[in-house]
Amino acid sequence: MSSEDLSSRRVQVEDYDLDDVLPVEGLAAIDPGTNVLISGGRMLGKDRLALELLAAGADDQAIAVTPDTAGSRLREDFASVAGRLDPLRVVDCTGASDSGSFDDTDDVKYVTSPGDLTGIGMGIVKCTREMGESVDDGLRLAVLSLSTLLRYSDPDRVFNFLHTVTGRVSAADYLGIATLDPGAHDPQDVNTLTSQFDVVVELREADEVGREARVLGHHESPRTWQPL
Amino acid sequence: MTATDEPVVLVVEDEPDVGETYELWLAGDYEVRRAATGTEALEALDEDVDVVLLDRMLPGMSGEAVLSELRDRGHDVQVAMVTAVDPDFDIVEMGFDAYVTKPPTRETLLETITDLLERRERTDRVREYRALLSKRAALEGGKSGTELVESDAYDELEEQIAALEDELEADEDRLLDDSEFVGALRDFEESD
Repeated sequence: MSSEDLSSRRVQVEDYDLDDVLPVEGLAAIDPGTNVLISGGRMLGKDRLALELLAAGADDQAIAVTPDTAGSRLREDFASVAGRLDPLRVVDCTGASDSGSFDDTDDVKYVTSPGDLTGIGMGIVKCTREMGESVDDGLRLAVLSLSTLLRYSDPDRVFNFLHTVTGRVSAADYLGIATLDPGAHDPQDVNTLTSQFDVVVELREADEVGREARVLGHHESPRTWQPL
Repeated sequence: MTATDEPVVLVVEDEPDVGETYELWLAGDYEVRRAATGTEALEALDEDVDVVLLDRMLPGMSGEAVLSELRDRGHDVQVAMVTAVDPDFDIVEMGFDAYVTKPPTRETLLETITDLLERRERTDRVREYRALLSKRAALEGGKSGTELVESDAYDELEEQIAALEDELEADEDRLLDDSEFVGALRDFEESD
């Protein structure tokens, strides 16, 4: 027997309901195991959109990895979007703790630095293990944001990390979500990171409507810009 | 490179009979080194060692202490803990790449080692994959659409990428295993 009872559960859902978070044709729901990237500049509400996607599954479990926002704060943000605190668990890798303690709680697992990519993986595993069978109804996993991870680790490492995490999402039939500000990095790095996602939601500013979105990589959806 | 070109396995086990048994099982496929204590293990460890089989209960320095020292030294090596107690998630947290329940069968021991060596190859394949994607990104950045369509080099690159993608995807289910998942992350971080 080597490591066999350390196997995680595969989710048993037909699809992931996206409500009307993205008012784009063909995107009311998405297949299990899909990795979605939200790509756009600053101040376009990427994180908010990611939280909305996390919260859209009322019965689903959710995990957010955050190098940007304290775990407790992110849970509050989630609550304001979702209208409920649960079931979000956070892997807080900001490297700071508002309570002064890095001891894990039920809802927040701490990683000492955004550069500790193995630690982040361990945090994710702690969450899925605690969720146990409840993962069967669906698990949404978000990384907020890749841009911050890129400030702490070189692009090669972030690529490898992402390859492993998106691979887990795909193998276990989770819904994967991540955010990236493409303007903040080398275009070639953006290109290689982006190609690990099945679906890319691009956001941009638009004069009259505020912002627009277009969806790439999802056959059921048009590839044109739409007001958001 | 070692004298034999076979992968090197370091067996750390304080009971001579048990250590000898492992050596007997492994000797056909691997170059085996043995150590009876943590201190000996650290002495026997160099860049040639690929896999360490580390008994958890060692006299003096515990298996955990040996592991942490070995990680501190930055050795890019796969470490399987051999333990009589059911280790659960602890072993992942402690930083082991796999565990073997004691007493292991010959098959289990060989499988574990093959598996750990394969993980390393996968790390290399993911690196290769990124290098190809990077190359494609560079080509796309520099050329117009029609030029790309007509370029044989680009076609060939696309084929290589697709083949590697299939290979990596076929292997994806292993990431359902928590120790494989965390181990895959750790391998990248260590082998830079």
